[in-house]
Amino acid sequence: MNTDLKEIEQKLHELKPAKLPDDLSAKIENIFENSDHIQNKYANLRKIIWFPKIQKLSAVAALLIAFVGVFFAMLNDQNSSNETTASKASVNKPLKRNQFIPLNAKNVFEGVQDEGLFLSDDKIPYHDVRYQFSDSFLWKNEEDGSLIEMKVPSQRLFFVPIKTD
Amino acid sequence: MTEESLAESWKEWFHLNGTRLLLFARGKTKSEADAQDVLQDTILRLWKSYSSPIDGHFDPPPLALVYTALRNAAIDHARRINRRTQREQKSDFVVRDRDQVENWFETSSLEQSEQAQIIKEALQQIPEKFQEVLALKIWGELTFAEIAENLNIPANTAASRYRYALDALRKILKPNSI
Repeated sequence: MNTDLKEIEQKLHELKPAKLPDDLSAKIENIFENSDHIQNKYANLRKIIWFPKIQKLSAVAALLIAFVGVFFAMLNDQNSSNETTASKASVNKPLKRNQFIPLNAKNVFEGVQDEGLFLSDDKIPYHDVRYQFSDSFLWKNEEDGSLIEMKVPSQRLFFVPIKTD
Repeated sequence: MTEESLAESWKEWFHLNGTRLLLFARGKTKSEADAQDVLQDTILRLWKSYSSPIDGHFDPPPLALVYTALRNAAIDHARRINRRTQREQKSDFVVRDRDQVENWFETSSLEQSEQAQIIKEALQQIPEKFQEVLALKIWGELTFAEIAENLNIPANTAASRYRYALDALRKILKPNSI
């Protein structure tokens, strides 16, 4: 370090920082004298935090609600199982009481209709023949002898290949 | 140790170190008010951490740690100030002029006062990274190892910055010298 730098260093060493403004000193000394935060800090550490009454009430209310919920859930399950049994019974009983047994089924030929020729995609000629039927079904109730008869028209379409050889 | 004697110990410690801490804070901030705020905030935080009546004895924070805390507080303060200034500028508020920085050094004569003012202005002109090393070394009385730890730089860098700082001051104070 050359003499100039040493000289400057010496000058800096000779300079002493200015004293603190009085108001700043007072503010900071006030910090040291104010021990409230320490007391609070350690008071909090030593403090036993009792369970507040309102929290107790909240806990009890929550438990009660949970208990009621579980109770009704169980009750609901029980009712639903009863309902299933009842519904089964109610479904079975009418079946037994009003049970219809198939008595007869007929397939009556009504006629035939020639719908001409057509050429399929693979170049084979077909004869289109439509047969018409009338299907009838008969059920009987064994208990009261009542009958149910149903007639349904039906059609069957036949494609008859035509030999060209 | 009673609370009163603990408070007295802290006061004594502060009287011993307060001036140089404020000088460092002045170097790290742009106004006297900011420097005082930063110092007050730092002392309050340190006192909260190091005051414990249960321990029963006065355990002052190491000076190197105090400077670190002061430096961090100054950086935080500068960030807050910048944000506030930006907000004020955005909202067309008039930013008030910063108060003038008070004398940094103790003087007993007019000549000394003039010289102290010249050195203060020279210190404000050199880069902050040089200025802080100078302040920590000269008035903080820290070793280069402590400065290095404080600034999170190698000790050699701290020593180099100190030399550069002196050289920069020389160029300002003695522009004609080689």
